Amino acid sequence: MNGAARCGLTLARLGPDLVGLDLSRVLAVLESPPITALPRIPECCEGITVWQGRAIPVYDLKKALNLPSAGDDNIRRDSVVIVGRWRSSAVGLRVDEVLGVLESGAPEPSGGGRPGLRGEAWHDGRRLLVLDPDADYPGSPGAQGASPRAA
Amino acid sequence: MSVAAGSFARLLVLFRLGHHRFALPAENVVEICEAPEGALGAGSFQHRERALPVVDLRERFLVEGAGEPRAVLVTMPPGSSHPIALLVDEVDGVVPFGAESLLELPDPLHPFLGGYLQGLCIVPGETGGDAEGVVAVLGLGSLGIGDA
Repeated sequence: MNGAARCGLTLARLGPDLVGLDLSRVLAVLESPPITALPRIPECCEGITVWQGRAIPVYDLKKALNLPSAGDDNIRRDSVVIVGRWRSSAVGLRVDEVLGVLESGAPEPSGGGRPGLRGEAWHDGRRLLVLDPDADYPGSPGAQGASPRAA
Repeated sequence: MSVAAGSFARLLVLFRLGHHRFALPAENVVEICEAPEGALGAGSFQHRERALPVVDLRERFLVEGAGEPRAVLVTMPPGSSHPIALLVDEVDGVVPFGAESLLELPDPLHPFLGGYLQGLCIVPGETGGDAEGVVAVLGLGSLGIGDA
């Protein structure tokens, strides 16, 4: 375990599931940031937004994790983007809502095997998908959803 | 009073491919022309008594456009003496930009766009509406169109 001062898991809702990202990797939470769509990028990438003078890619986490998105169109309008450090870059991760921080007692994920995930656990009766921000970038060659979008 | 050459604003030619907004530094653009009928199928574009190779940028960027391209950008790739005709859907205008407006392409997108773009640019006066006025700046040198 590293970074005892910022230990914990940021919890967000992603449809019926929960998603967790190490608190130490969370840089900001943006509400409805403007997105510039780009061609030739992976299906799971919505485009870029400008954050602190930098262009950062914004990923639809549901698509990146191959989760169903049907029926969430109304919720999506209110969704937020977590800016996090993924590998060495700042990226935006779209989730339905940020719920808070699980500072202690975070369940130990198990299973893994899915690109971008450290593993899965259960929390408050819901499936918790724990992200692995050291994995390949979402949609990168070899990862899920890597095929470029035809606009 | 002297003004350092670097302080002069450069110009960007703004254009569209489908609903995507792009730009090209004006110093790379020789002329903006109306696209002739059938330009898409033609292998060359007649410009000042020269037949120039044509590049359909919609095809390069996998973008679907509505109908025929309406404009041709006659461009001169850096370090080349051979102009190239780029087919685009529409030219939006010319705007000044400064170095502070340029944004690097994010690392995660390099595998997909690094060979096509030289970066991104925040366009002045375009806030609100379509994505805060960020446009993709075409990389002529890396687009491989010098060989077209």
